[in-house]
Amino acid sequence: MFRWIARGLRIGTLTTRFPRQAPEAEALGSPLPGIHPRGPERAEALRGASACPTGAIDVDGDGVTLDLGRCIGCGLCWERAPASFVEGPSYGLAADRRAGLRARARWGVPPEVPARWTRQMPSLWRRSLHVRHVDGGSDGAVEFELAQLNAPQYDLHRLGVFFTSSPRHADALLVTGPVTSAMVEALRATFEAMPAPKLVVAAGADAISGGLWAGSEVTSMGVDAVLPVDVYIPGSPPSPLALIDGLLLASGRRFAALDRRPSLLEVAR
Amino acid sequence: MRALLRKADLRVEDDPTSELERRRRTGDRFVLLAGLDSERAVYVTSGRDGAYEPFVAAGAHLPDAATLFPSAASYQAEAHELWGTRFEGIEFDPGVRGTFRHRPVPSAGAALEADEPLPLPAPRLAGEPVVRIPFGPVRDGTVESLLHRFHYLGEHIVELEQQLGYKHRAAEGRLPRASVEQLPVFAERVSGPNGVAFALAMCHAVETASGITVPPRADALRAIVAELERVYNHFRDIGRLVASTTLRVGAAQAHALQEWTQRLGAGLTGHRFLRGVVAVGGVRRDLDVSGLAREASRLEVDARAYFEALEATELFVDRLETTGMLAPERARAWGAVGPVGRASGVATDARRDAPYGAYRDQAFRVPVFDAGDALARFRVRCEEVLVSLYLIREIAETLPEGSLRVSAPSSLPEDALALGWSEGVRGEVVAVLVTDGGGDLSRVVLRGGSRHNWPLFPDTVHDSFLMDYAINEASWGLSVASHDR
Repeated sequence: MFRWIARGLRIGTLTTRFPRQAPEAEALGSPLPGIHPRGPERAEALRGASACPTGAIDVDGDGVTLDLGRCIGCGLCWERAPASFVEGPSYGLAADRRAGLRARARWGVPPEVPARWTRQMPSLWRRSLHVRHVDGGSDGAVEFELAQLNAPQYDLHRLGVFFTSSPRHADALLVTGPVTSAMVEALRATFEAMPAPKLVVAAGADAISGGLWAGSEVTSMGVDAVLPVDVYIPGSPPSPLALIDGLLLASGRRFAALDRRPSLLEVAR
Repeated sequence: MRALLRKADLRVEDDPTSELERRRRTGDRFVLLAGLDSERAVYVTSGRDGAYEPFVAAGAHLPDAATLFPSAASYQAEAHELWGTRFEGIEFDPGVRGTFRHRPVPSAGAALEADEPLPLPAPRLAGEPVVRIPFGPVRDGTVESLLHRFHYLGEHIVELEQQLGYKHRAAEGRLPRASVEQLPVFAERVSGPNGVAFALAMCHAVETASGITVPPRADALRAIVAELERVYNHFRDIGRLVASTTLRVGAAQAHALQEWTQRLGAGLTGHRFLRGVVAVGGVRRDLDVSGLAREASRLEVDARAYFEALEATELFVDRLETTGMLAPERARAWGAVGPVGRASGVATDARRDAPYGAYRDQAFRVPVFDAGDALARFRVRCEEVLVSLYLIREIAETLPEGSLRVSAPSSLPEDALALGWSEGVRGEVVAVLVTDGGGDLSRVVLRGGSRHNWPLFPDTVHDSFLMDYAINEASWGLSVASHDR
């Protein structure tokens, strides 16, 4: 045991300063797209939309709507249409309503950034939020990222967010995956076992919209179809930073580093 | 080298029974069986030389391969549940829950939950002294969904019932509708943490079908990301194993190592799960590998020190020794794959036995142990981390110049069956593509190592108790998403 204490002391503190400060560059990764800050270009945007495997890009007469709730971050759009789409941020995108994930831009006009947070959460959970996770048929990557929140680099406990085994102790239900028909009952039972007031968090594109598996005969179109969702965390999978962002918004806590979403001008290279 | 069967070879094997018997006699390893439709199935075995040999059988009732290869049983059940294939002498009860079908087949347009779930198969053991404890599908912690029911007699688990399929998304049904360009994107997301290996197997199959040769630089970059994937997954599985023995500080340090590896990968590829690199015909973009060899060496120093500290912790080693025994004879008969197989003396590794890409030019060690316990599985992973880091260094330092990608065809040859494979983190990943007369995909099979190993797991729990179960399950380190698909 002594050996482990000594090793721990030698390694020192690894924990990120996020969310009090902007995250370290090496903690970034798994980006989602954004609309080009100069605005999309019509012919090219159509090429990007046709490459999208989940139909997250909607092109109409006046412009483009990019739905991050459906986006799986495959990058085909920004490769095919670099003047219309850019590699965007990987965190700071969580929203309390589905419309907060949809960015809209008219041809040649900079995109409008949707309001992602419109609701004041009760102060109840500010110091302590207990989360029960249910896997509704994910690809397994979100579970890796959730487990990484306990890594020394993120140390979720310092922010007063805890994963709990019993739904009776849980304030929030965090759901991953598109919710398969086999998991519907278990998900409902878990939700019903939780005391009110309670929150539902949908983490990842699959959980928000069904993602790649939307329309399959055995999956629903996301958690929305089964339970009322309070917080949406886009990403495929959402990175640990994105999960921290979403969980803190759920607990009603705000930080300067989170409130200021990295602007598309900053991320466009 | 890779099996490409063109029109003439998509022919149906006339006598599948004697073909299976012949393969059994020559000591072939059973790889997979997949239903193509209600009257056809594809069988894949691997010969002693490592080559994958597929054949197609047709008929109202196909021969029961499980009498020759025990691991075929679960594949036959899957083919029946999902594709309606029937097998001689096997009756599947439509009133009992299958592995993948938890509800009766829904009528078109019906709501998801229109029908009640089917009942679980009746337990083999019942009655007063047997205590049944269900665990799942919602389990402790941030883990994937599955149901394990323990049957206790006194202090011992006399039987473990395993119900999988809670995560079945019908991914193989969706794949044929993807464009050729999108295929690896889909494959990466069938089992997220094994995404590179899945995308590689898929791309190998497409490249075989359309006769493309990948440029050497792309092969090398693919191998680098595949090995990075192995390293972070192994750190993760070792971390879960250490946590299951309640060594908290040790587990935190495995998390830290995993995070460093994922960050290294994110710096290299932009994605923490290394997605968006592998593409049909090569790689999607160039990677800047300057400094990668140095980073890999640093990681190796840290990993070595960490593994040595674990080996020197008696409390930890004692808990793993003889826990969750998988006897080598059983592992061989089953054809267990990946670290689980290699810890029970089954020395298979697709990178060495049926080499592809950059592995053709690399000599490396495949660690094999015979003990078959949790400790052996732990040691296989530790050694594989070091081998992978060595491979990353070697390949990064001798990275060939040249192009990154040859243009991929927009369509595939007609009436073809093509096979692709790669060695994933949890065993070989095999992709089978079947095209119809118009050159469109009619069926895609994607089988990861976890699909093959999960049905073997319950046996190793019998006659143990709950604390051992937690350690045993963590030591197998299998992915549920990869099994359920």
